[in-house]
Amino acid sequence: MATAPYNYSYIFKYIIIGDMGVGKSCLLHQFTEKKFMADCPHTIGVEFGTRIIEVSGQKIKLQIWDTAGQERFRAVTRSYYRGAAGALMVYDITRRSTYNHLSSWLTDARNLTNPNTVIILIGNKADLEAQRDVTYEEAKQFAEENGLLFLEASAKTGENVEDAFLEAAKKIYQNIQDGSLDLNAAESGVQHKPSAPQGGRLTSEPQPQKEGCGC
Amino acid sequence: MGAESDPLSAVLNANTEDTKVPGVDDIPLGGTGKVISNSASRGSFPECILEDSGFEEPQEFRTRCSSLAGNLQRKPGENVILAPTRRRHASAPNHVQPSDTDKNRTMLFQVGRFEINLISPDSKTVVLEKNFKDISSCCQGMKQTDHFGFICRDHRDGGPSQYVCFVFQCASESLVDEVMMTLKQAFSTAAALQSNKTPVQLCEACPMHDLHKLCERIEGLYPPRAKLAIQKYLSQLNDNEQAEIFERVQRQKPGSDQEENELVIIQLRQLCESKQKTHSHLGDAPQNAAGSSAAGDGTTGGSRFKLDVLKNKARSSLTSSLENIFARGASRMRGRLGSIGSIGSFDRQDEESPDHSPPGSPLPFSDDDSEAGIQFRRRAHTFSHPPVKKRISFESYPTAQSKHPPLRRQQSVNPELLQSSNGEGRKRTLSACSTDSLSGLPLTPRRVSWRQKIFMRVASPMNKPAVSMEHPDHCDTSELLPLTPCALVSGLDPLGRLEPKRGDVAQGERPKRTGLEYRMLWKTAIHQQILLLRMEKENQRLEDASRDELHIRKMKLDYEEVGQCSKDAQTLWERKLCAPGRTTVPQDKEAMYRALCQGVPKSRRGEVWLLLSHQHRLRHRLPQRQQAPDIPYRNLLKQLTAQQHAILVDLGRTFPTHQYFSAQLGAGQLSLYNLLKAYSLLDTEVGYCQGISFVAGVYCCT
Repeated sequence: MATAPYNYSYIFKYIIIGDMGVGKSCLLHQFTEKKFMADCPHTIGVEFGTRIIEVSGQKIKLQIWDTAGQERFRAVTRSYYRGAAGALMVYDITRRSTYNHLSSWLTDARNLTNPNTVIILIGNKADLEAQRDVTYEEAKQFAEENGLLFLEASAKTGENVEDAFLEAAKKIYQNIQDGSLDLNAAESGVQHKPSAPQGGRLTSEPQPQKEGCGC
Repeated sequence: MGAESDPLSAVLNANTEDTKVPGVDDIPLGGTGKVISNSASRGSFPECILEDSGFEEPQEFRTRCSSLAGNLQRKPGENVILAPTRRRHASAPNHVQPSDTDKNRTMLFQVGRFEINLISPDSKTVVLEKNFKDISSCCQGMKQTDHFGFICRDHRDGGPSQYVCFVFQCASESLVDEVMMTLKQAFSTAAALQSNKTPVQLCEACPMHDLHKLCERIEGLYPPRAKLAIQKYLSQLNDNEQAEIFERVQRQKPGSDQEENELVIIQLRQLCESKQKTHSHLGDAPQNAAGSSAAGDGTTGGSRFKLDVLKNKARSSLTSSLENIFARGASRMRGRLGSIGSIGSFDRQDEESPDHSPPGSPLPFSDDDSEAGIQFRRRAHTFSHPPVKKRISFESYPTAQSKHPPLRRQQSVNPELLQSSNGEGRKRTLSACSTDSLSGLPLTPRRVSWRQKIFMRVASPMNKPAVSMEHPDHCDTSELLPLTPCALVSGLDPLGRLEPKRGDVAQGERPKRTGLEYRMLWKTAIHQQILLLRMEKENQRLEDASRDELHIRKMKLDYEEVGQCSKDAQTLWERKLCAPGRTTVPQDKEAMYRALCQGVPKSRRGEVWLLLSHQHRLRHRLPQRQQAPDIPYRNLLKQLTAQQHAILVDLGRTFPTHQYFSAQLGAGQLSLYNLLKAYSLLDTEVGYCQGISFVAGVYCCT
């Protein structure tokens, strides 16, 4: 395993949530691959992606769980909220219904993650200005009322996609710095890796984990 | 899987006589469908006879002859498998007639490692699956040596065990000999295997055991579903493990769900193996801990051994389930057709029954067993029928019999019903690790209350509602029907409906309801609730069935086309295929050629072939006697062919890598078998010749 690129000092766990068809998987794909996936199949359960970013000179690895939006997968996807440090809540600016469902998504996110989880609201498909159905202002207001970060992005053009993930990361990092996020707390969604890589743990060094039985 | 068909998959063309054996002398039948071991048969086939310590009542012996005829008339439905009642020759009532082909069907009789399967190639179903454990004796016919039969225990939930006898007629006596030899060998192998295994006690909490269960769960599932199941499992891991697995899998960039599932399982296995190393078993945790801290290896030898066994088990189940992911389509199909809930659960019971004894030995009911039941087969208790009970029920049976027609039994094996009512039955393959499985069985309380009686009555497939209705998209509808009545009763709204009335009673405004009224109320409420649940389940089943059909179709058509065919050609064919009189009026040859040159759309190939063959027949009339006899395909399937051994041997070698044909005796192979058999009967000159199966295989793929 190539170790060099895995030099990072933090791991953040992200989840992406939102109605089906709002472009969650495309956002992730754009972020990790820098490509737009035109014919994206619907997600089953959860998908996964990683990327290493840099915030204030610190290398941070993002582990991103991209969940399925369809209601019938909710049972599975919900179990992946646990311990997320950041949540990207996505809606489609051209479909009002996806915006209207935000409150239920928010409730889910709040209930299933920890209080320190940074939630960022993303209005996707910003390139389709002509078909806009949700104004920037009202979404902005919604975000402020609920204490969310907010951005409009486009997975197609790539506009603001990086920023969305970065903003959330910055916020989380800031929380770490000012001590409001306790790294040692269980399920904080953040792991500190003071030293170099720890690849191959699964195979090489069996961890003395006693909690294996608990499942 | 080669190993599974071991020791020998004796395929015989058993003209299966219906079971329940009216006139077969050599197989003793209790008048009630119960069978006692017969000393004569014991003498002739000592090795094949599996003792059953449950009962030894010689006085039952003689009762049978007298009761037989009447018994038959009373409940013809009892004749289990393929079983329209057999007509008996008037002059020789106790003489077995070589039965007419209408009533009997050709079946494949497969002797597996721990069970016997009876597969019907016509309907591509597993008609009967019996564990060796449940077979108490088997023997060859004494007067009719082309018959053989076996007696096995037939579980019914809650009720007493019954013994049923199945009798089969083979094409020849030598086949019977072969079958008997095979069975003998299979029994002893199974006994040896089983006795090796018995000392091992499982620890429910073993990571490998968990994994094994997961593998079993996803076995044969359609990849997206399997993926969901796996993800459900993954969500129980801790964050790091989760991330690691996802990351590794993602790094390998799986192309499809199936591939992804395989990768995840591989990763999971690694994880579980490493966890297993540090795992201390639930039962022997204290000694184990002490041992490992004090002396290291020395004292933990025992658990080490268990661990290895476990690992191997998980590993083998893993490989088989991986292979089954490949074979999923076919096996799924078979599972769907072949296992209906009840069959599945009967077999499960067999596995769960507390006697983990080798089939050939008396069933031990020691204290040990109850402990084992708690420790690793938790559910065993529910289904075990302690011998004492069994005996009681046996004695009391003759009287109870008429009230207790073994309807369920019959429904569970009748092939027609198999196809129609299988529901979300256990997906099963002939291969696979079913013998050690531990997965989901609902608990059924043994004591039958009146409420439960209502439940049981309603829950019989007879009352299936014809109406279907929309229901919301459930994520996990496979367990829609909670099978314990308690769950039903406590969860349902009728309670709420009853509530105000109770209030009324309390206020004394109304006359007090009698117990009877309450009972009626409950009854209707429960009825309604159950109906609702059944409807939902039914809906789900329909949905699944159509999805499966699509899946199989997709699988069949999953091959590379040489050339793409144009839109024009498609519409052209569309038109040709719908033309009136296309089977009776010759069409223009040139036009046909031109159309063919443009290509034939993949999905219409079957129909086009049919059209062409019709046209060919119209054009080239053969002299009457050269014309192939016009026998319907269905009738051909009932006949026997001399070529069948050759055909069966080649089944596994025909397009073995194609999904549709890859499963051993799966849907693909069985339809191929049917086709080849039919051809060999029609064209007696050619019969079967090697290589023809590839041609037929292509036809099957349309």
